[in-house]
Amino acid sequence: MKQAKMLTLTVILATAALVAVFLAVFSTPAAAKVTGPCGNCHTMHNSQGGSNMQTGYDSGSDAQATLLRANGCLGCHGATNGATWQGVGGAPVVFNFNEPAFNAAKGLAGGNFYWVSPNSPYTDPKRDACGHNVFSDNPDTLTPAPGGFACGSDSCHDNIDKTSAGSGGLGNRQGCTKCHMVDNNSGPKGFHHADDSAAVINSFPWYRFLKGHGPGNSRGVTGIEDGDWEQETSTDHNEYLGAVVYGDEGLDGLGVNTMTAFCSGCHGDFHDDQHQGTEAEGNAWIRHPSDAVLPTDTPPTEYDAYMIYNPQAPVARPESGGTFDWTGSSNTVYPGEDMVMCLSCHRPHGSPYPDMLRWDYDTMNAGGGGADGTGCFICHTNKDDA
Amino acid sequence: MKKAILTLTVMLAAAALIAAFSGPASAAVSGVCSDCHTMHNSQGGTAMRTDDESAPMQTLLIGTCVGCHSAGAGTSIEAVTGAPIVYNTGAPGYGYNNEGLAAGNFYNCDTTAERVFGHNITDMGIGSQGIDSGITGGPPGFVAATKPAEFTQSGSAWGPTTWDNVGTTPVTCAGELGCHGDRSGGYDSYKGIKGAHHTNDGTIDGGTVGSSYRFLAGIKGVELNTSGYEWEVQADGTHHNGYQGDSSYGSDNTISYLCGECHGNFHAHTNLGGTDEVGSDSPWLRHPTDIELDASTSGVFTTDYTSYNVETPVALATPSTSTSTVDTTSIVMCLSCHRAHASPHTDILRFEYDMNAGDLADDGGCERCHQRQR
Repeated sequence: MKQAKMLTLTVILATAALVAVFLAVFSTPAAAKVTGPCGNCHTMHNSQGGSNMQTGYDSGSDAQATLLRANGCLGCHGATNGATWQGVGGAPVVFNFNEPAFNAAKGLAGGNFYWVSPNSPYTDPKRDACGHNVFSDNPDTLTPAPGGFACGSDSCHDNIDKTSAGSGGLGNRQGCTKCHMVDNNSGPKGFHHADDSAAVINSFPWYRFLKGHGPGNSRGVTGIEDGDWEQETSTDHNEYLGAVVYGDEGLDGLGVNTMTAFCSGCHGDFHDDQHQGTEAEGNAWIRHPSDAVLPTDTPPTEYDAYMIYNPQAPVARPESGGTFDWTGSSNTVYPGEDMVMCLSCHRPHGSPYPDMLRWDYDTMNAGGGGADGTGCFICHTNKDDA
Repeated sequence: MKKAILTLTVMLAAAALIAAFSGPASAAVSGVCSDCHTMHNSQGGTAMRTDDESAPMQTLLIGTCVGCHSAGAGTSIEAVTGAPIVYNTGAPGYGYNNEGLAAGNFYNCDTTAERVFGHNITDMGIGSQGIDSGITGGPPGFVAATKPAEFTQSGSAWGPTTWDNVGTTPVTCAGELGCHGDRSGGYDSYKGIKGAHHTNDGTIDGGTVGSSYRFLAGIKGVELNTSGYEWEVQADGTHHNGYQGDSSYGSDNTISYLCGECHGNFHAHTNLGGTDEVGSDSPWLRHPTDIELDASTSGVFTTDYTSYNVETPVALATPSTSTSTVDTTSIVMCLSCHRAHASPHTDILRFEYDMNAGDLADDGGCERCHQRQR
């Protein structure tokens, strides 16, 4: 009896410590490298006083990779309800078991996997279309990734739900780690111990641990991480790097550290083949552009009337040569400098809307039909006019 | 004489590739974005084109010009998008004389190998008869046109500077070789028309492509938007398009000037064929356009034509869609005789060219104006 109480106490204290450390680490500012007692996150033998040391969302009893005390990524980044937006240790929650209820976006900046989970209010095929299918029991219906190419062996390019073959750095990956913490030399480890606070500019561990699998740390995503992952957006928000570079796909292919380049690693046609011919030749778009500068006109007519940052349709910023100075988030949009990007319209994890859109595309009515000033019309400012 | 009128006919026909394209009758296009656009030409792993093609289209469209503006026999306005139909795969069966909307219907381009019933636009991508296979020259009466500076892209000509063979370089819906939109050098249909459908065209001032009559750059006019009469799906003496004219062929914003941008020798404007090609008064060298009806008692044209008839519309310096009278302020124009897209009559005429002078029974067509020649 006494031993049982001690064990219970131990688990409670350990969990509390983990929470405290993660709160200290992940709250404000967003990240900075993890600090705190090792035991908050790791267990050497998954055994203490004869019991396992697992905790967090959907915890089991088995030992976990990198000696973690949580059941995979969602162990820390998941929650059993809809209200929690900071999970074990204050980690940003990307999956709520119930409908996210902590903000109007119904999820943090990347959205929420709830919408594509077994708990989703939707049934397939809509459910499948509302997020990246990280859950192994809800297979991807589109393979390879739309606009992408088959890489084989259940690679990241082929699907998200299945485990990639092999044992190298890119092998044995499933779900979250097919986008995050990619490294062809080693597994998805070590990133949480690198400093990703404030602006992560052209350096490891990269924005949200998003990097390519090119040689070493040559390419990853540059951005500024919001302190609360956009749980609220009235004061600040994420910032993303953009660059007007076409003609290839992926971070290494394009040779830039933009969010769009990262997305294009799997969905290349949607960026590489967005022009008929080349932009320099003045040819028209054949797909919605990404990493394209919002055009200006005199007097302002359409895109250049988008001047106050709306987190529903974020823009990417140029690395240099623009007004944005990369010292923190800005509520000003600079047409002629800032760019539309993949995340201007999509949330990478999941959203309540098909195609992981940030709004309901079926309600976007041109010509005064409704949804004025929202969604598509945040940039296409004159197309909602009657 | 007959030959001259035939030539005139062809010229006037060019004027017309006009009257159909726009959004719903007036104001900007309305409706959900996905009715017309696809962001990545991909949904559920499948291309989103509405035709048999899979390649993504310019301006993220799901259909071609004709694709959105075509339908089976009998459909005049597309139910979902509200697009006016300019090509029916069967006989239109609506509009004046069942010939389709105001500009006529490209259905007629498919009917014979003669290829003389319409502007044989390459955009159709259809047509068992091929594209202008029987014509080896350029547009009849072609001269390179000029356009006010606000419409010309820097360094670009307005329309082609030469056009030797419409069989090998066919006319298009819009762009450099077309009628609608921006005709800057190198522009195809989609670059030419880009953005126009989203313009509020409630006021047609010719200032931009979107605010030009039927997206015919720089052209003025009044579009018939009355419910039940849109695009002349029905038309009568008090419900018809209002065409811009000029009583002395001096303006570049008239519907006839637009036709003259390809068929220049058939219009007396100094930018086009000029009076050397057309004349300046009777006796004309070619049938005039943009000239008022003659009221002289010795004339043969005159005010005998008094009640507006949609078979032979007239233009006005201040057009309206309800003008019911025809008088000396009325202006003969290309579209007085021709439809712009196609018709069941040779040379894209609005009527059969079989009327007989001196026959009182013939009171339509040419002889509606030329009543004294009955």
